[in-house]
Amino acid sequence: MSGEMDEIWELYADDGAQSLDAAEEALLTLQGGTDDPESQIAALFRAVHTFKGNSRVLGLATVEHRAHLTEDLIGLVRDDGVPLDEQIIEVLIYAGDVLRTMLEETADSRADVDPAPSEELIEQLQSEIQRAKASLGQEVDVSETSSDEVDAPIEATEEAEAETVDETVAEAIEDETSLAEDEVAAEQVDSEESLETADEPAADQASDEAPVETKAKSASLDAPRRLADDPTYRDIFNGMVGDTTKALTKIIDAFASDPDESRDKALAQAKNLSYAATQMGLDEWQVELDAFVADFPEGIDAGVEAIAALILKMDELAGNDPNANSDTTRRDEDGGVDESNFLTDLQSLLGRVSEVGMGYRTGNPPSAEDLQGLVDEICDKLEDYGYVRVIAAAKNFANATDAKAYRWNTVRFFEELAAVEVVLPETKDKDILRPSVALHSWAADQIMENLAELTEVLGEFRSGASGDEQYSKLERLLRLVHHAAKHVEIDTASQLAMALLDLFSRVQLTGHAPDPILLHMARGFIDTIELVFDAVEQGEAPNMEAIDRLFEEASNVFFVGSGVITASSIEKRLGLPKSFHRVLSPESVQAAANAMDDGKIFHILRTDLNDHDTIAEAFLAWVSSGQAEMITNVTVFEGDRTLFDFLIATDLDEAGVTEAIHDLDPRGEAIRIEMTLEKTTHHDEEDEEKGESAEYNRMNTQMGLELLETIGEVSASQSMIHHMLEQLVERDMAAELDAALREQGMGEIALSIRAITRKVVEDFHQDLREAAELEYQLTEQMSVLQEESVAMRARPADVLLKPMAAFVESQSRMRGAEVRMSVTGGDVMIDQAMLEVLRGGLRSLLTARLDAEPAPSQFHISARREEDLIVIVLEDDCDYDCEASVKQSLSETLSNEGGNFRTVTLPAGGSRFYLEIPLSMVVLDGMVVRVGDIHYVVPVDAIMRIHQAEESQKISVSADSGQKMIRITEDEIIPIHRLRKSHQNRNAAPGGEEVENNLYVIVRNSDSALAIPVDELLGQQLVLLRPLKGMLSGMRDMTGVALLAGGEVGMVVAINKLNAA
Amino acid sequence: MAHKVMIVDDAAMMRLYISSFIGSLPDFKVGAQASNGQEALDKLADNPDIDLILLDIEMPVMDGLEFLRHAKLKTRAKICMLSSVAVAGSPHAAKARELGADGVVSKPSGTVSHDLEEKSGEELANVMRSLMQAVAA
Repeated sequence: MSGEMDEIWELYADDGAQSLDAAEEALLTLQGGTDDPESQIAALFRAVHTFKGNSRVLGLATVEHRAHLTEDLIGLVRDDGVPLDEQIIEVLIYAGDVLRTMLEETADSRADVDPAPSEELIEQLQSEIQRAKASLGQEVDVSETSSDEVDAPIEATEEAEAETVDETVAEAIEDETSLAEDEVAAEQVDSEESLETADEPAADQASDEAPVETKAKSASLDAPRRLADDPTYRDIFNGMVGDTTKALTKIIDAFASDPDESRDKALAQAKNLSYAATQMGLDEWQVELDAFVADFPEGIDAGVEAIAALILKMDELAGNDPNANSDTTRRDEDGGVDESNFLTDLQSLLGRVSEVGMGYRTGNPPSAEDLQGLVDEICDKLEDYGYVRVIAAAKNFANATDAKAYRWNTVRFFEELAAVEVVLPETKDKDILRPSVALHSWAADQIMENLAELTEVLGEFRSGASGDEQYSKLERLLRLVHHAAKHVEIDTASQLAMALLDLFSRVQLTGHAPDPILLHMARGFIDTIELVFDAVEQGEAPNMEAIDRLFEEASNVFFVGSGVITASSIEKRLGLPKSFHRVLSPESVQAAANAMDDGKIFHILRTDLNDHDTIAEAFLAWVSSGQAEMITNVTVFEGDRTLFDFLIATDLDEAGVTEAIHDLDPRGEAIRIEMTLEKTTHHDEEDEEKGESAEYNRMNTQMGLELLETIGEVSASQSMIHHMLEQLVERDMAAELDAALREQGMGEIALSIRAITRKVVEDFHQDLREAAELEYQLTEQMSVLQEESVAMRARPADVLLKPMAAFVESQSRMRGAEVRMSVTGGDVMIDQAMLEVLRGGLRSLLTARLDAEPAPSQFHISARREEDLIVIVLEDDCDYDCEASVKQSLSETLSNEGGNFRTVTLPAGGSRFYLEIPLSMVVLDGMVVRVGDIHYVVPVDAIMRIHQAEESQKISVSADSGQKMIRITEDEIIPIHRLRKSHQNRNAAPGGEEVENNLYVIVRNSDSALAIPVDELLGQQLVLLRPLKGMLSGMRDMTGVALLAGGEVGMVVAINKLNAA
Repeated sequence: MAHKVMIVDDAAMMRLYISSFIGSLPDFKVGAQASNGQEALDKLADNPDIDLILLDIEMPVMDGLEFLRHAKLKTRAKICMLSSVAVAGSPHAAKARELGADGVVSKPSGTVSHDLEEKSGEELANVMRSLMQAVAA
């Protein structure tokens, strides 16, 4: 409360000084003579009245009394026609000086002044009032009246006046800037109405100008005596209660880790609120809070219980507040809702929304009744404002089924509140929590998680899903990114998020999936925003160029997607004025391009169509006639008229168009040529080409990451071709032909024919060898390209680790702690795609640790490379494991990427978490084997065992076309499956017998077990799988290729495709 | 029953084209017309049963974005921006989305698009119907 009271006293001082300045200025004007004395007297009255009211609110009885007498004297002049002579002016100037001295003293001491020094003023004022009344023939003992008021200043204040004063202070609290204007307007209305309605007794219509008798009567009614009866103060107090509840809840969470500090914090919170309750006159609150402070127990459990009990008690007291459920909506003079109070009325509700949501985090989720209660509470307080979307958003709380739904409902509710906030007068009250600020800040805290989720959604689009669910998720996430960008005040980024939302929303309506260009752009957007927030987190300036560039591309994406040249290109070619910037639709661009190709001349015609219907119809018929073609048109505001500039293309030159216009508008009222554009042949083609080129280069930059992916895939496919060619070259085609002929009984074929055939086959084989040599060179080049692309994808671990340190600091601060993180291994290079996986995982792990009880006081994080793995090790000083759900989620995430997550509790105390992830995109844990000179990768999870067979174990089953099998045990006979057809031949002895080392990898597919003969086991590796595409996807037994740790390429065996045949 | 549409556009001819287009849709009818945002706000108060507002952006007195700021707070009517400056992915379209426009459709040939029905009719009808479906849901 002290913060609020400080502010109120400051406002009192500022506002009081302004009032007295205004009074002085009016007096001096009156003293110097003016044509409009009434308005000056009215201003004088208003100023003193305001000053008096503010003094009363702060309990400054003496000050208020002196101001009241001053006001009475002015009132006689204003309302009763007492002439304002020099004597009255002198007394009023003196009164102004005394009141100013009182203001300075009270503002400094925050207490009422000593009455004695102002006795002289009382005498003078009473004397003047008596003189004035005598001049009117009245007999009033002003000295008696004033004495009563001094003795009982609060009781003697009338209700209607109090309301007016309270409203004045309320406005002062809410909006200093608007105070002066609002008051002037309000007072003017009061003044006018008072003349007509002075006799109306209703309290809400009683005005300052009501007769003295009316005031005296109402003074005996329920005059407010406590600040608690003032809605503004009550709202402030309710806001404080909400804040205190939140703070106490956090203290409970942290109590066990630091009982002493937590106790001190809890007591400080209670003392602050108690002080506020005292100021408010809320005795019951004060008693409870003071008792809490006085009786705070020893021990952790008892301390936590005491705080929890206080929270419950506060909740109960808030519920018992007789004003809590009353209609507290403040209304304007017409009985309508005063919208300027909206934010103030909102404050306690924001705390409630947060409080209810906290139940999900503390394992005590709100029941359906709780949620409905919250909805009712919000509706009770806000429904009268008529903000239908706010109420609709609030009602959604009742439908929240889990924490996620509640969170999203909260976001929607805050978004609607923020939309209202935009149209309300700006408040300078620093204690008002603005929904937009809360929303933006929250979104910024969640930005990395939301970007990760956005990446997932894009992945879903890529994999072919494009239903409403994906679009809906995308919209939500883009909105959150928009809010987060607002928080760091990067408007271009926030707008860009909305531009992307616009693009996706339009695609959704078409029923088609987003095209690759749009997806590329969205991916680039995520990367850019990530870098922006990393930079901001580290206190660096973000790269705005990238965002600006993306925005430009967003405007062009539909053009590029539809294959037409861009709007900016047309703008440049035609030299269009700025008013036409970014208004050309793809249709207009196409029309303009066609017209340029046809050598048309472009004109801009300014038209006044709104005021000339007939001409308008004729003109629009003309631009559709074929003689002229409308490309586009824009609005032009000329004074209070709305005109339109039409860009048209025609064969007519300026003279021809002038003639045509004359036919349409003979009197020249509505159409004129504004500009004839340069013919298209004059444009600078070189510049244009540069522009187009730059445009596509920019797009290519966005596709960089995707390009690297493609290089990897091309490289993998090329390796497969290399393998196939190698096999072809190895084959002895002539021998195979001979064998085939013999098999068909054509062994006696004429030697001459055989020679010819052999010649053809050998020539073919020679060509094949040459092709293989060329291909070998290509393999080398692809290998270099692949290495370079892998290097391009690599980023130093610092990019990941340093923001984590900043994340820990900011998150711990939010939890009222100061936790640091040390970092080593920042120069280890990590694949860009892996960074995202690690970033999301680390953030969730760190958040879980910081939320734990007790939270670690320090972290250390390091990165290192171990063979084909990147290992991130996070260590802290708490020796308990992390939350099971986080652990499971991390294990699954890393496992999906071919990685691993494990935890170790350190003997000396503390925990260590290992996040292991392959060097690059790996999806396979494989056994690398060699067959001949080819490496194959057999998925480890399909391997049953490795078997070294005896020659005697091999059998041939004649009933199965001689299928070779191996007898493992008496009952277990497994068919042999060769990966290379040529393997047998290559290793065949001259007699046709196989010379094998009888080493088998026994695998199991969905059908059965198979024995794969291999020459050598090279070991288990995590390998990068590249799928085969196009014709290669039909390769027998293979699912793809893998880049092995040593740089070789391995063929990945598709176990499920294998069969024994 | 046909949904009631309010057309807000400062170009008289454009209001005519849009009216004509709406006339071709059996499930919609024109409920009110206004030539700027302020006039639309006033008419909205007298026509609380408007289901959908087709809103231009560039208008005198009160432009479409300002109207959107105020109108969307107190009306349940869906608001679709129909403007030549709301080109897909453009700053205006982004702003409209930010302020809560329920749909955004670009006029095909500028602020006065005589070819609205021909070139954008299908898209506009789709948007209008999807917004009404969202209400029904």
